[in-house]
Parts: sequence; C-alpha cells; structure tokens
Amino acid sequence: MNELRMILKKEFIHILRDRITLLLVLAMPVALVLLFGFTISTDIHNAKVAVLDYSKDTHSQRLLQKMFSSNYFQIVSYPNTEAEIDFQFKENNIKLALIIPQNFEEQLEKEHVVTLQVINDVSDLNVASILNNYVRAVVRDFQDEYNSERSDEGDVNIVTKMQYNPNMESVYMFVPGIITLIMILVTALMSSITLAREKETGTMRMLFITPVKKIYIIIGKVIPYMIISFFSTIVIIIISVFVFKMPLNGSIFFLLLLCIIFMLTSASFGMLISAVSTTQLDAMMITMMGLFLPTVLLSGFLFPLNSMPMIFQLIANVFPAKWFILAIKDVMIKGSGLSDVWAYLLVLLGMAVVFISISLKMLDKRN
Amino acid sequence: MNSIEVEHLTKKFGDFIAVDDISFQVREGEIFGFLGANGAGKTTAIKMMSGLLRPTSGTAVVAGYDVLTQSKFIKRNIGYMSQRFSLYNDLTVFENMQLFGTIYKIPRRELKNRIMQSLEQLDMTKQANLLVSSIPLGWKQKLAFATAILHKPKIVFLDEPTSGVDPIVRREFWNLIYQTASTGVTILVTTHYMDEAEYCHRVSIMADGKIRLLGTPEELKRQVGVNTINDVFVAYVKH
Amino acid sequence: MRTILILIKKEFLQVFRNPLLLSILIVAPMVQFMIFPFCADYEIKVLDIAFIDNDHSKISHDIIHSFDASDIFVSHGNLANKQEAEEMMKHDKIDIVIEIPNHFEQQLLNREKTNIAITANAINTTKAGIGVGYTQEIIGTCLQDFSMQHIVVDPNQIPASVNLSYIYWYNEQMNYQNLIVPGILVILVTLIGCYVTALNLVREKEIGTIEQVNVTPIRRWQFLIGKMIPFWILGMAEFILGLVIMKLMFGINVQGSIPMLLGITSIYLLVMLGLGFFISAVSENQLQAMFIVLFLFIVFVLLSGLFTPTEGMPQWARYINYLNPMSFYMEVIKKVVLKGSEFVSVQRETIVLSVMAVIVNVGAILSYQDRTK
Repeated sequence: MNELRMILKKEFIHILRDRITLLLVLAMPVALVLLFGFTISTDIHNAKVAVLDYSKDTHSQRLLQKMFSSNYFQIVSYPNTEAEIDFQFKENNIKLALIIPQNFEEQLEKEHVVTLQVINDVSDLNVASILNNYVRAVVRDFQDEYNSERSDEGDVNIVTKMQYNPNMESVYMFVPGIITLIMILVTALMSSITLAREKETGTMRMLFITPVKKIYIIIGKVIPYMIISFFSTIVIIIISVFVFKMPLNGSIFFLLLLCIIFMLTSASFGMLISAVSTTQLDAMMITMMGLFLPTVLLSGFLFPLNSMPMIFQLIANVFPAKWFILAIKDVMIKGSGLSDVWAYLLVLLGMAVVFISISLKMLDKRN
Repeated sequence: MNSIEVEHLTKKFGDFIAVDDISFQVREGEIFGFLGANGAGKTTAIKMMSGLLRPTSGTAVVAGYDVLTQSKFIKRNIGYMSQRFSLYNDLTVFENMQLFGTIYKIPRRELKNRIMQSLEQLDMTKQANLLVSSIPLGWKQKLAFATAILHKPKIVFLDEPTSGVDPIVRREFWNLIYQTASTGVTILVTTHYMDEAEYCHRVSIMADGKIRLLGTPEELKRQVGVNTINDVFVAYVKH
Repeated sequence: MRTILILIKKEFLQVFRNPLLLSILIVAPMVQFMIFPFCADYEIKVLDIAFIDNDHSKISHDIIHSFDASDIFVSHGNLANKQEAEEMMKHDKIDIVIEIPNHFEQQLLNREKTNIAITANAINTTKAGIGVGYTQEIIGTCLQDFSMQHIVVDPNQIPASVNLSYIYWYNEQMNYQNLIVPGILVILVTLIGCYVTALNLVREKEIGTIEQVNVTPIRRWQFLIGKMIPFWILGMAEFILGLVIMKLMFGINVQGSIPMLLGITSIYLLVMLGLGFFISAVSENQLQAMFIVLFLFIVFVLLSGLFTPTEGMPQWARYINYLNPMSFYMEVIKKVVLKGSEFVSVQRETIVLSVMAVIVNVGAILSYQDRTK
C-alpha cells in the first residue's frame, strides 16, 4: 500500500507540474459542455423559405400567415416560377420551398382535397426531415381549423403527451452524451497517453524493474485521472442541472456511483489501449479511432441506435458508452434506481474486469 | 585568438538562476572541459552559446559573432551534439547525415564524399543503411558527433557526449575529439566523468550555475593539493 | 530549395517507415466510410408502438392494424393498462403509446367529441416529434375512412384535407449518405491537416530532434515549409482517395468541377496545416497539443452543421462560426459535390479560406521559435 502511495504521489507531481495540461483538462469539459448545451439543438428556428403562391387567395394567405407566425420559418422570397426556386436554393440558401397550386380555395371548398408541394433541399436530410415535420404540423392545424369552422360536428381530439420531456428540450438527449464523451476523453485518453508516455521515454521499464507490483504502477497512474475526471463530471452535472435545466430525478449519490463505475471502465479501456501501443501517438490514434469515434457514433447519443443496420447495433454493445448513456438517462430523467439499471452496471463492471485482465496479461508478456 | 568569449552570462528561469554570471575565454583549437554535477548549469550555458536559448543578461561572442544579435552566423560555424540523442531514429545513418549535411548547404557530391569518409573513420560503413533506432547507443553517439562536424565547423559543442556508453567507446570517442581538435577545431565539452577532464586542455568546474575553478587539469590539482580531478571536484564542490 | 527538398524527403521517409501512421492514413478513411454513412443517420427508421385499447371495436382494431402496414412502426400489440405502458416506456421497450377510450366507436357514430391520447417518450425530441407526426397522420386517415364508410354526411360538410407532396432536390433518393459521405471528406482532410501535423511537430520537440535542427542555420520558414509540403501532399492524396471511395462505394459523383474542388481543398488544407503548426508551436508536449486540437476539432465539427442543424443555433454561435474554417469548407463541399455549383457560388468561401490560410500561416511562422526564451 505504501508503494501505491509513492506511485500516486509521483503521478500527482507530474500532473501538477504540467499546469497547462491540467488547465486544459479541467477547462475543456466546461467549455465543451457550455458550447454543446447552447448550440446543439435539433430545433430549427427561422429556416429560410421561399413561397410560390399560384392562388394568392384568402385561404392561401391564411395558411401562409399560420406558417410564418411560427418562429420555425422565415420567408425570404416570393419567386414567380419554379425555375427561380432553384436559384433561391443555390444562392440564397433557402432550406425549403412551398408551392401552393392554382385555385387553392376552390379546390378546398369543392373537391375537399388539395395538394401542396413542398420542395426540400435534401443535401441536408436532417434539416429537411425536421422542417417537413413542422410543415406537416402547420398544415394539419390549418386543416383542422378550416374543418371545425365549417361544421360544428364533434370530432376526434388527438391529445399528445410528451413523456419525460414535456417542453421538448434537446439537452435531455445531449447532456448524457456529453458527460460520457468528456469522461472518456479525460479518463481513457489521459491514462492511455500517460502510460504510453512512460513507455516511450523508457521510464516504464525502470518502474517495472523495481519490486513494486505492476498492478500498483498501473493503478497509481490511473487513479489521479479518475479523480480529475470525477471532478469534471461533478462540474458538468452542476452546469447541466442549473444552466440547462436538465432534471435530476434519481438519487445524486447513485448517479455519482454510476459515474465512478463508468470511469473505472473507461480507465481500464485506456489501460488496454496503452498495453497495445508503444508511443503516445499510437495511443492517441487508437483512442480516437477505437474509442472516441465509436462513442460518438454508436452510443445512441446523437443517432438513434435502432435505426442502424443490425451489425452496428451488435457492435455498439461492445463499447461501454452505450450502457452508461442508457443508465445515466434513466437515472437523471426517469428517476430510476438500482433495481432498474443494475444490468447496465453489471455490464460496465464486467467490461472493466475483462479490460484490466487482458492488459495486465499483455504487459506481462512484453516485459 | 579566442574563439569563444563569454562575459557575465546569466540565465534565469523564473526565480531559479541556472547560470549565474559566468565569464571565460576559449582559445582556438583548444579542448575546453565543462565539469559539474547534474543541474550545475552546463547544458544551459552551452545552449546559450549555441543560440538555442536567449540569455537573461551578459554576452557571449562565438566564432567572432555576438549570440544576441548574430546567432544566424554563429549557427553556420558551430557543430552541436545534444545531451539527449537527437538524430532521427526512424532515418538511416546515411539519411541522417545527408539531411544535416544538406541543411548546412554542403554541395551534393562533396557531401557524399564526406559522409563516406566519415563513416570509414568511424568504422560504420556497413551500418550506413541501418535505421538509427537499431544501432547500439555507443555508435549512435559517434554518429551524432560525426554529423555535428560534417560541415567542418570552427567550434563544436558537445553536451555529455559519453554519458551512458561503455569505457571502450568512451576511449574511441575521445580519440575522435583529439583528431578533430588537431585540425584546429575548438571543442567545448561537458561531462560529469571526472577522469575525462584529464583529457582536456583546460577545464572549468561548475556548481550552482557558477564557475568555481578554471585552469589546466595540472593547475587545478596543484591548487587544491590532490592527485586526481575527481578529488579536486569532491574537495571543491562538496566542501 | 535543396534544403526544402531534403526536408520533404525526410518527412516522407519517416511517414513511410511508420506502419501505424500509414495504416491509419489508409485504414481511417475506409473505416470512416464504412461506419459513418450507416450510423450517423438521424432518420427515424424504427418506432416501437403499443396500444391500450379500451374500446375493442371495429375502429379501434382498424387503427391498431393500420400501424402494422407501416414500415416504421413496430407494434407491440395491446397492453393491459397504463401502468404496463409506463413500465415499458421506462425500460425503452416502446417509444409511443396510443390509448383509445371506452365507447370510442359509439361516440364517433353519435358524432360526439372524443379523445385519443398519444404518449411519446420525448427524451429524444426528434424521434418524439416525428413519431407523433406520423401517428397523427395514420390515425387521421383511419378516422376519415371510417367516417366516409359509416357516417352519412352532408356533402358540403365533408371534411377537407390538405395533402402535402414532397419533392426532394439535390439528393433525389433521400439518401442520408449523400450528406454524410461528403462530410467524411471534410473530416479526413481536417484530421490529416491539423491533427497529424500538430502532433508531428510537437513530437520532434518532445523527443528533442528539433534541437538538432534549430542549431543549424536553417530559416524557420524553410523548416515549416519542409514540414508542410509533405503533409499537404498526404492530405490531398487522402482527399483523392476519399473521392474514389465515395464514387466506388456510394456511387456519388462530384456534380461540379473537380479541379475547382481540388483547388479549394488545397487552400483549406493550408489553413489546417498552419493551424496544426501554430498549435504545436505554442504547446509544450503532445498531450497539450492533442487536447487543443481535439477541442478545436469538436467545436469545428459541431458548428459546421454536419451532425446538427446550424439553423437551431443562437446568433452568437453563428458569429463564432464565421471563424470556423470547417463550416466554410463544408459549404463548399455541399455546393460543389451535391449541387454542382459554379465558382461564383463558392467565391465568398474561397476568399475567406484564403485569408484564413494567410493569417494562420503567418501566425505559425511567427510563433515558431528556434530559440527559446
């Protein structure tokens, strides 16, 4: 135990000496979480739109009125021909064009069916599908209003309830992802790189020659970064709850326990990476490609997992991030407790055990 | 004729004074030894003289040029071998020499001849196409020296050139230094091996950033009244 | 000139002797092209739905069955009660629950007011929004069909419907890949330009080889150019490799002029290279350099609109975006690759990138010190 304390002391001296790195490690998460929180949003405001209105009657005006009184759209031009629309897309960067056919009013009243054309710039499909959803809502609203004015018959009222997130805040989805990303960055990346640095400069060999147990050396290197990462995590949680109004429905202690377990898993992943790499550059590259990228893509934090091809849904299970995000969302938003998320915790702990034992075995072979 | 003239050279890093007001001269063709324990300020002094580090105060004139204002001209006239091996491990012996020779603007054909000659002298012709990472440390040091003098500099700075190499290689290394000095090249070498001091024409002993003693090895021994430089060092530096 | 050539040669020798770096240069784009286009997709393809049918009537069955026909909805059938539904939603088994009240059909036939309740898990707002939209559409159609068949109405009071027909431009197959694939090109070029070069130079600092160079009479711009050209060539090669993969794997052709695209890419690469060198000049070790690069990279990607719409950002974030070279370059890629825009359309971006290239590189040369203080 004394040995471990020595190693820990040495590592803390390293960290405290390199003030710039320490500052970066501590400041970066905060900067990222603020930036993410304020900028990432799947809501779109004031999307530029062009309208080609062939009817120009009261009903079409009313529809447009409805459309632009929402803050989703911002009308930037009224082209006269469809050819002009192309120009508007290319030069004015409009995201959507709406074409109202001739005799809109007449069709509506006589034929009871009318079709509007929506032209999307699908070079950005995300924006297109979100905007289409807005258009759909506006048009439905118009239609319902029109129908209820014409008849006082009873109709079906569709009541929608947005469970867990009644105000439809994007942060609910992103904050757990950001916490995960930052914990991985600090814990896995830092521990893998510092271990690789000792290898690169040869000091690792010196340490291994000493009678200190290998496991102590490794633990001693990893613990300081877990502490830093834990500190960052608390800061991020405070920011997300107080600045971004992220709910914290579960127990805070349970949440922190969850974070500690995930840090353990990430740190052991970092160890595994450093076991297979010989230079810092290797460690960074492997962390980027093997951990960071899969976390962004395959954790379900930005992109819905169950819309992906089956093979990727299976691969996603191997990375700790997916399990942690599931658990942290449940605890923070749904207020789940141990009885709900124990399975995720078990997976994370199991992964940590596997990673640590593989990396120790590999280190044994090397030396 | 002096090739190095140092006056009141000082370097501070924050509160720490690495080099504290040192002054000395080195004559042309002289082998000048810088002795001292680790952290005595030898490397810092060398880095200031070779234009790698800006002095806090004081001046140095190297090969007739001022380090403060004319470092560009100094660099053309000096060779430098760093304490830490700093040739490219992932280039071959030949490629390293070619790289630095070209940077020093040695004409192509001339460069090839010089490299061949130099490798022969080092007995490393067979290793010319080996990656530097794969050759033993002693050879690496010899290669670093050969690279540092490839462009025939007037002054060579050697920073701990023999640390970590075995006694045989050290002997060979000092032979190389002698051969080079005999062609009129000034050599400033730092070491913490006291026996090596005996090979120098003059030595200075540094401690805590100051020059404590300066003279020929014989003078120093006589002055302190001991038989070896090691004893001088022990007596003088450790009090 | 000879000095620069030998430096270029040195850099290439080093790259080709580093199996890891080489494999990353070749494997990274392949892997990215194999993963990104399939995973980085916001399109909602699967929605799990369940029902609480308190009516058990023809219309309630009709509604439930109409979801079976949909490609997106996966029906989990009838649930006993609200508790069961809540439990399932809590464990992410279902995204949407539809509750049909007692006597629903009767009320419809009597033309009384009645409610259908849709509950959606709204943690993922996009998914919830789109899911609810689809659900309403399907229920609406069902109800309309039902009233046409079973309720006799005054022809003047037939409920009107406004339909939407969608036309998709610049990406007719509605293929998300068509956006993300050109985006990968941007990421590739950025990674080579900024990440690899920053780490490369700072590594020379850390292992000490740069000292041997600094003691020579070489000029600092010569040294930087000697570093820059090899990575510029690598970056361009990487970009061309990316274009080839894009064509072969995804069948995406560059709609605009390829020489123009290469020209603008080379300017963008200069910006990134300069930035990489600037970062390595101001950082002391690889760890610092990596953190700074990674931070900038995340911010660049985030603000560039590749993953999230820039339309949703607050105004100040859009101002920051004026400093983001990646968003200008992304714009160029989108316009030239997908829309086939002419030079006039990307003129502004090209000018901005050129100015950035000059500023960043001058900054890099000035901040690179061959003599430490």
